[in-house]
Amino acid sequence: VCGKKADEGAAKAGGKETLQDIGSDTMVNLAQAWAEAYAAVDPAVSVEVSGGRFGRGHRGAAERHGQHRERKPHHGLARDREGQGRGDGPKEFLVAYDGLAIYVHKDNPLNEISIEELGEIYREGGKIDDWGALGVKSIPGAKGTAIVRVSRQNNSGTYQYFREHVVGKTKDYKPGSLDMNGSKEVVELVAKTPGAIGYSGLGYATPDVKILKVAKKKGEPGVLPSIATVHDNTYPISRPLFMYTPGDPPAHVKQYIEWVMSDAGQKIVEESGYVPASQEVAVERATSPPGPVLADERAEEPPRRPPAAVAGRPWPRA
Amino acid sequence: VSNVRYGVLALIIGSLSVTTLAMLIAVPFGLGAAVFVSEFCGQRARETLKVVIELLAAIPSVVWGFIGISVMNPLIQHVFSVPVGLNVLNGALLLALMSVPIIVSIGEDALKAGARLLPRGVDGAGRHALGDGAARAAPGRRRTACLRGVLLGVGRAIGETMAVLMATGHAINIPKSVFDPVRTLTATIAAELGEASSDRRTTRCCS
Repeated sequence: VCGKKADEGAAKAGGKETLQDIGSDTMVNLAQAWAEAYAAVDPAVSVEVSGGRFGRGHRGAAERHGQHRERKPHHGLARDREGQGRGDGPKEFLVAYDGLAIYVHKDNPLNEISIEELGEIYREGGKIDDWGALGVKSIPGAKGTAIVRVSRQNNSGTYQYFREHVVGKTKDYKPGSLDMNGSKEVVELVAKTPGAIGYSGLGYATPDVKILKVAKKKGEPGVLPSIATVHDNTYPISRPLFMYTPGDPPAHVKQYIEWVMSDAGQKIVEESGYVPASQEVAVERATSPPGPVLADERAEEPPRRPPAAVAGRPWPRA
Repeated sequence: VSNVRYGVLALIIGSLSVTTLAMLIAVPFGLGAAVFVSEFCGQRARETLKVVIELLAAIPSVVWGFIGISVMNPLIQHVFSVPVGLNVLNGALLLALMSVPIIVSIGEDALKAGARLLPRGVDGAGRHALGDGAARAAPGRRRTACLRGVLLGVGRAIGETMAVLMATGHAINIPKSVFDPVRTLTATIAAELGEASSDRRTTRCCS
């Protein structure tokens, strides 16, 4: 499914090649970590990351170079446009996976939720408006038990994905959700609001929020998002993240993407809290516990030191 | 995506509710402060206060928005026992804080201009004409000038984007109380401008 639209345009500036990486808010943390690390790998190439939105990056790839963009079923916001110039459309590269985590306030006693229940919370006409319906009698620090729905603005890829997989393709979101402009804002608001629930990429987890186990159906055991559960598909709401180039990438862009998909690049994926694209990396690391995600087990997780590549991030993992 | 619906009512009501509440807070304080500064302050205090108030007007709206999220949000949650503090009240308080300096500044100028007009009118018409003519014109001029200050404040409030985008919760919702989150017209334009169209031309028209 859609995650990131990157546009790798090249420009020679003072002997240094520039590579533009434009894309969705979902992946911007990861793209930045890659760009920083790549400076050491190939100092002759500077990678410029501009985060933003799903729609923006897509338009970058499709429009800037006048490329025809095929409408693919999994591209919620794909736009058709007359092709000019090179005949081949944008190239797609699967670079990582992301678990879409369901966040609640850290004091919320709830540990598990099913897709149906999430649908009832977020869908227009859905019946769940109160934590009581999920068996939560009170949340410490919360005033009342009303559910505060935190969602995303409607041009976000995460919004589209959540709509297709949880709310329902032909259904609307229940009006009145707080629509944040970024993945990080969702987590920040949930952290400050005891009655809130929100959805956002796994990479945005902080110690101030709790990640719920998600069950495919009510009654089935819930699963925490982790590298292993995203890879074996037991975690129900995860998605692949793509990079796009307008047509065949030039050599230095190709090299960058190859590096991104190499072990070194995929290690950064994991360190940034996303799920590596290649199974091997994941299996190799499966021996170490996944991330500090988790609802009920957080207390047992030892604090982790920030890895050098992503030092300064609020909650780095691995 | 099927099930497409259009409607702007919630956004218009969102903008109006936040602005109206902001003005209900800002106008009494703004005009009151203007009267205080122009009539009751000594020369030094007046100059200092004017500078400070005008500095307040220079605070960028994104900073107000941040204050809304990080200070007002928990404060409103706590004080009013509501589930979320990003709502009409939060946005209106920020807008009031942003409009007050403008209302004070313009209002104070107006009162001062009126005050200057008064003795001149008195002199021109003779001492006992105090109740007539120019002397009576002065309060009228003050009123219009004060109104101008208020309208500029309203303009600032209704056109404000960043602070309300951050502080009102950005929820499509027709508010039933001041503690409901809303979404304003301006915030919607700001948040979705990039998505306005696949056509860059239209986007330029919007901006």
